[in-house]
Amino acid sequence: MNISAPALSAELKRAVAHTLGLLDLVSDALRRPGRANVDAYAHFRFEGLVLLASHRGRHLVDVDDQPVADPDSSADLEHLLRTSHSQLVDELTGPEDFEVLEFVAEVGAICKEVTTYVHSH
Amino acid sequence: MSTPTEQLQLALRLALRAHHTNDADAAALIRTWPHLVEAAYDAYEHFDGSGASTPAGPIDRIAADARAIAARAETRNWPARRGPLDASLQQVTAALRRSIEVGHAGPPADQNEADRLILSTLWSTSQLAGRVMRDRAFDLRTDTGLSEIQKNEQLPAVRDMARRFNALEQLAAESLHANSRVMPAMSPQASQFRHAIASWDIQAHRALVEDRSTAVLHVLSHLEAESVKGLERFVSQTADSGIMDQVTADRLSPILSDSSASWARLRDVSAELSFSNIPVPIGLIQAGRNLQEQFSVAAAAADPNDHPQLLLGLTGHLASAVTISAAVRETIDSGELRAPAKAISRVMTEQNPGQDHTPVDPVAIQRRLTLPLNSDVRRLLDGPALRVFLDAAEAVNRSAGLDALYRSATVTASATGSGTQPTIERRSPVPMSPSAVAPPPAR
Repeated sequence: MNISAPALSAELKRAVAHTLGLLDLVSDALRRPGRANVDAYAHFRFEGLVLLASHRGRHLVDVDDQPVADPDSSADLEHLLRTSHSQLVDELTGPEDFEVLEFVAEVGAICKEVTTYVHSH
Repeated sequence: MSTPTEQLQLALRLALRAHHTNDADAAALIRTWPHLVEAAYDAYEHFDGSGASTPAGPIDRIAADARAIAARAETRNWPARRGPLDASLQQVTAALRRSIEVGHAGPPADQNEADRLILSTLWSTSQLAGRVMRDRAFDLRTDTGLSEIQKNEQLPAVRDMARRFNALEQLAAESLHANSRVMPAMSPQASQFRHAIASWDIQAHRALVEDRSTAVLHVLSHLEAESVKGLERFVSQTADSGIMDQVTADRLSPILSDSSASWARLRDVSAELSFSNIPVPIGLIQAGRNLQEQFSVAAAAADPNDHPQLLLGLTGHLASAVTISAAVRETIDSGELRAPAKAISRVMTEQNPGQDHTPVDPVAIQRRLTLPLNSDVRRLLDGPALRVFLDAAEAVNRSAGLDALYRSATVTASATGSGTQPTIERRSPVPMSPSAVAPPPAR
């Protein structure tokens, strides 16, 4: 089946690609060893959400055309994610495909999870 | 000076931003939700002067359910009626209200875009509320600030709200998909099918709010039991004709069968408490009959381009069954449901055969009055009503497999580009004959 990515503005594509880079960092952080005290179910749910958003984001942008960003892994991930989510929201005008809204909402939920995670550990 | 469209865009942005700025207070979200939906509905009504929107659309349906939530706020165990509101949803509400204020100078240039922005805002906020409810249901068990009694009281209410918001989210999502730019244009038949589903949803909610009698409950349960049977046949037909995959149909069929039986059980219990001479809104009966008719003809006559719309309509109907059954439960719990005094007396006498006096005021029986159901009689309806709700919620969960089917249809349609006729991939069950199985690789 011929799967085509929805048409997005260049700014929105860049914002999605930047967010995808951050999601990769979140995913790596979640897979790091030493999380024995974390609630297994919550961890699984969080990781599932990150994978879902990451997968959806990669469908939205053509990674050959718009490479996934490689953000600074030592920076404050929580702050970067919130900024990235705000940027995604600012680039929306409304008539975008529903998948774009789903992606933005998922990133927002991930921001919230990261904040909760950071403040509870 | 901003335009209505800009204000609606702002409302959507605030709704999306709320996913990370929200305080995640489940009770505050529920208290704020009806205000937000009312503002969204007012904006939708205000800008709909040209009549561009479909009558009885998703915004009407979500508004009908929000009114039901608001109407029962007083009698609900959780959340308490008075308490803080959610600040992030209040901002969204204010932006929606502001769109009406600035709209007096002139309506939005594109009515469809305005509707889409309003619906997207409702989708985003219902998704947020559903997620917060789910999280609250998990967190509640370990909440040290609550006693076991409080936890046991709150947990079912929080779970029920999570199911209800999940259904509202599906309702908004299916409509956003259905009106997507890449979806093939809807034929008049598909439009009738979707209109029948929406009308039933509206009429059922309206009847429960406006006429709190066991006669309405009886007729509504009967029509739901019959329409779910029709839906079961519809699912079978769509699977046979390749519109739906067999696996999803096999998952849906048993729960639809259970759901129909649950509605029939509620119908039978409520029949004991109602008399046939009590009038029931004719619009409810007509909407129920029309829906059954649409289920019987839609699959057979469907154009291939209508297949995604049929699947989306099915998802929307399953979602509305959740909100209708939730409204039914709240009507029963509210203590406002009324039945003829004679019927209550008869049922209570049957329940307590040894009692030597009539449990209902004889004057009320003599005067043929209706009375609110007491807790003993309400308990008879509680079990069947809960079963109806849980079956409806499970059917929504099992319809998740349909998502991929109408998405792939949308993708195929978009891939063909504008100006060409989109083609819908046929989905026949895969034959499991030996010839269909690939031989093992040679060593």
